Amino acid sequence: MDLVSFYNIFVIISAASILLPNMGGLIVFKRLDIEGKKILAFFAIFIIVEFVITWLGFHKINNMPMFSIFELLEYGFFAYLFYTNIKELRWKKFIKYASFFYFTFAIFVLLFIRSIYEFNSETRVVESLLLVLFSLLYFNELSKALQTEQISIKKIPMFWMSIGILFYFMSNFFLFLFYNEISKITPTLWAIHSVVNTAANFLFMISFLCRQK
Amino acid sequence: MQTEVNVVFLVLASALFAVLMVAFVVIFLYITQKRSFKYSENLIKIKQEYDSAILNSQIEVQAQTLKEVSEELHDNVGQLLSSVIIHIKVLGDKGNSEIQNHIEDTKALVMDVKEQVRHISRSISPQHIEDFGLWDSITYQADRINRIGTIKIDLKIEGHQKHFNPRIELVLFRMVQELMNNAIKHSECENIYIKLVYINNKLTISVKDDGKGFDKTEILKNRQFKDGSGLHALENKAKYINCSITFTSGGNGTRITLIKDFENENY
Repeated sequence: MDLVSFYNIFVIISAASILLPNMGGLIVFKRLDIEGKKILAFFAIFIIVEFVITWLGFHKINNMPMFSIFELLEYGFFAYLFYTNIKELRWKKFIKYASFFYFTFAIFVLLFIRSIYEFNSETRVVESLLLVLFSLLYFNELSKALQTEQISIKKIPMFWMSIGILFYFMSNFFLFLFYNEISKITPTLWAIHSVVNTAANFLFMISFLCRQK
Repeated sequence: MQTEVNVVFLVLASALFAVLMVAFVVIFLYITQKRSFKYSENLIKIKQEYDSAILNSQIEVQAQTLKEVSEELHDNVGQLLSSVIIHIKVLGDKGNSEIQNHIEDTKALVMDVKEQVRHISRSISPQHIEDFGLWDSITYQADRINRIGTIKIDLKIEGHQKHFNPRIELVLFRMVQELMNNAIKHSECENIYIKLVYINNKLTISVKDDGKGFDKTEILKNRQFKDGSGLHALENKAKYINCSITFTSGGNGTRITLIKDFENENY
């Protein structure tokens, strides 16, 4: 098996891994609150997006326009999760302003810097930085809460979500930063993204399953 | 070529760093959680020890007070009543035949009061309970209630009666006394059945009545009020002597079971 076939397997597994959180959500569907159902709905949308992106990729059709829209949707979804789960008012404000900045920046990049048909490295890097920061803020708040309340972290859905977000965006940071260079010199390096994406989806699945009794 | 190597290195390094970062966050939060659990456990332990100490001193104070009241009833009130009887007797000797009958009735009443005072004195005396043991003390208490005649107390014992730690027996007796009083005051029952079962070093006491029953959750909700405080005090006493207590209540009455294992107790 050559490197490209090997890479393709990774890409397929990664795309299919979006089914994991959806399966997790369906298993515990009866126990999901409104918040949990919203998250599941987002992941259900991600199935369609992931499928279209992968299908276009395999048919050598440029999937970057779809990817750019997905990127905005993804950021909005994760930022919303942190906004609702972080309690401290100043950090809530920070997420609100940071998100305003992000969307303005993303539109600016799309209009003036990058074409919609190429990978939006700058926006992706800013998204990664912000979401890593939000997850660290969440963990900081969680560690403070743990000192005063008796909570089992493995039973907190947002803990697993944040771990997945931190892992995904931190691991892929330089991959996003140098994507345009990498795609020219070693495109198969994107396999790292596939592995990390699969692992993140697995963590998102746990974020649903941890609600089980 | 050099740029390619650098980029690959950076990408791999960032992935590795992310793994380490996630591991660090998870370990840090896990340690914080463990510390918090340990701290809470210690707090609960300290609170339990504190509650136990408070209850212990309450029981000691109560025992001391009852002992004093019992002695007072026996020594002073008993003596005074004896004097009253002597005076009545003297009056009877001197009085004419018309008031003779009244004097005899009064004498009988005062003697009855003296007898009741003696019974009360004995039933509240911790010394009496320590000297005669749990079974005899409960029997004595039941006899006293049976003599009044409004409620019938049926007593049964299974197994060979044993004497355990007097301090624990005293608490158990107070609990049975409280259960009898509760049944008489609140249940509107006609019969109370008390059974003591001795098996090896385990003692099971069940107190059952045929009254209207009660809803334990409702009563404990009003714990701050008088209704729930009795049950709460019973549960506290049970906890204090490491005895299990179960309540079963419905339309057919209430059954409260106390199980005390003396296996590891000093008796």
